[in-house]
Amino acid sequence: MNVASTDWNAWVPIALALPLVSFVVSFWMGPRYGWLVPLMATALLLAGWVCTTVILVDHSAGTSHFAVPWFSLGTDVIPIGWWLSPRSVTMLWVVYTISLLVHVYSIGYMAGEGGIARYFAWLGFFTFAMGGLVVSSNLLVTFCCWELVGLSSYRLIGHWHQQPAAGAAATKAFLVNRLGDIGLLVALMLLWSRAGTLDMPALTAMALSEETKTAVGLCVLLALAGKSAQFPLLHWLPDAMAGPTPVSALIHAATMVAAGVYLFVQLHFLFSADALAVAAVVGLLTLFVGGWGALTQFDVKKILAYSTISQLGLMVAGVALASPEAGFAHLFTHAFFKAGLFLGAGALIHAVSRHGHAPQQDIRHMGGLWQSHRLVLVCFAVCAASLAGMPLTSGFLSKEGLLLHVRHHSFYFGVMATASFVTTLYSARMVFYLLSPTPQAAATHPVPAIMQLPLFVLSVGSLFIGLSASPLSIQSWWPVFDAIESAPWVMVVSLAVLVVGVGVAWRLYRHRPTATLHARWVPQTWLDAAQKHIAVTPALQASRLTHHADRRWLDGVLHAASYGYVTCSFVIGWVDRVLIDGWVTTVTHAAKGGGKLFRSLVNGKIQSYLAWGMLALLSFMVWMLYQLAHR
Amino acid sequence: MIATHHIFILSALLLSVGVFMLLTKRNAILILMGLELILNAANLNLIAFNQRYADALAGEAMAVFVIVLAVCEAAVGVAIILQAYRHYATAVPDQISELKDPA
Repeated sequence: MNVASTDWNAWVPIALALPLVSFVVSFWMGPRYGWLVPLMATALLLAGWVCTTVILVDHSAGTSHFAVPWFSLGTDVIPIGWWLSPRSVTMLWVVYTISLLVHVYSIGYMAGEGGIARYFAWLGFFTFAMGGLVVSSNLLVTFCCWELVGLSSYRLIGHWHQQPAAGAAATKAFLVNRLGDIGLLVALMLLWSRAGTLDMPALTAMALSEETKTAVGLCVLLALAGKSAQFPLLHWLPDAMAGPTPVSALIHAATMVAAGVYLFVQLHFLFSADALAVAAVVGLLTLFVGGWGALTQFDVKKILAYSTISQLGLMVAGVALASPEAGFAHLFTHAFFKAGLFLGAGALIHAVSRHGHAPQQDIRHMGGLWQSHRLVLVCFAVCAASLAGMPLTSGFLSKEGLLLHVRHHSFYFGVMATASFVTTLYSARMVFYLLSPTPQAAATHPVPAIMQLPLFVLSVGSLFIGLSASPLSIQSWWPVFDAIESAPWVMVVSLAVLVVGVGVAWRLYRHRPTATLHARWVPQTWLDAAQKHIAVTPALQASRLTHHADRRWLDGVLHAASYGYVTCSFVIGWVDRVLIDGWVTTVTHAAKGGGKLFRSLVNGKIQSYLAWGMLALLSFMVWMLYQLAHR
Repeated sequence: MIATHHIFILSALLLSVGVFMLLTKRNAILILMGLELILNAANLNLIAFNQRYADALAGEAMAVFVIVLAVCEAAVGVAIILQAYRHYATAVPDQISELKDPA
């Protein structure tokens, strides 16, 4: 297999290295020049963003592949390199753009917080890991980056590690993701055994059997369910709100959860029709669970988290049912408006929270900010409109693209239209609460300009110009959609859904009901209970059982073995001591005794010598007489 | 005329007493005296045997030689004992036990 491919592009390694440099330097500078870290990290990210922009301009059409051998196993060579396609360079650019804006925003948001160096270091590392995942041409490298993305999200969700909730949320996110990662690992093993390569360009050219594609597809689906919070692995995402708000923006828009959908888009060719059908069902389920969850919450960040879940479900269903490009277009627009929503929510939370208190995140207590925070609210509303799919926004166009693709399947079309309705409903609900003149929020702080700037950029990106030159057609900037003929009735349906959605929301939420739903209506409750019953309790029981088995059986065997061993040793020791040593000591004692006896004759006393001489003489004479007598 | 075997018995007794003294006396002078007794027991034997062969005076002559020898021996022995006494400040052989290993 020829792994070398020499479309060298120096911008790619530079773009990937800059956030990594930021990671290292932030840790290095942190202790002494903490104040410099945000500026340095942002500057490095800006340089990285410039690189990705250059790459984007260079590769707007056509692909390029660069690979060098990384290591070899026997005769198999694992390459490392990048595979640039219009899709991957776009994603890379989105990742860096969102990350840059989050960096800029964090300068203001995290000012005065502890652990700034650590925070910016892991932001950089997060960006690096996601960038590597996006451009990598080899699935093994992709997997490594996938894990690094999980690690960075763990570190960032748990950034405020003094809060037990943050630590628990980080652990939960990490463990649930691990469950999904098993799927990716198994998928890689399957591909390695069936296709013999993990190189994506090589895999695209390969014809795999349907069974293999079903198996690989289902495994990848498990992986993306963990990473992209698909049903049933979605309950970690609302908990992950314990992290700083800019981190949530980054996780939801560009790096963490986008990774799953992006991988689905990239590996769409490895899915069989069966696997795609399963993915569609999972996506649609997620869509409704997320939408329902968003309607039950009053915590603004949790609403956004559930809305992300529902949008991710929409993307997965879209990739499975419509086309990878349609799903990817929605991923693209979602990145902007969701990052904008989170940064806006962060700004509002910053505005109403009192220093030294728990942040105020309840939309029932965040009203009355229109006079003081007009720009933030307008930007937030624009992003929410994009989420709801209002005309003139990018969300409208990407949703249009998805609906156009499924318009011939009346069932799926109906489901997606209903989902749009739910999305409109919760978006409108959130905006109604936040725009209301009352209740006046307790204390309002100004939002610094450095936090308003990224918000403004993102809300502009959420308008139609973020995706297309025309406010009504997605086709101009995304050539892949040119093949789809537009159908005006689809647009009419989606506008009707929008109007109905806003109308229903107005009817339901005009008076801002404050009653909290019972916990049993919140999806989180059932999913946590399911997690407890399906995973945690059996795991605890299994561990208790293994503990018992360990104590009882394993230790028993060990004890028996050790007792036997000790007994044998005693027997051997006895034989050694008594029989073998005994014989030896007997000989030595005999020799010693004999020596002593004969030595005692030589006692230095003349008389005893004489006595012995006499005795000898006497014996000799007795013997002589005896001889004479018996002659 | 005393019967020869009576003399033999006396000689044997004398020898026994001599040997007894030789082995048991603590003082070197007495040991030397025991030695004298043994020599005289031998002299008695010589004389007794000469009774049986009276034509030759070989036995008496030998006895005279022995007496002379005994005198010499006593002289030399006493001299040795004196020297030993000077050297060790004792005439008890038990306390002079240098004829063995130091250990």
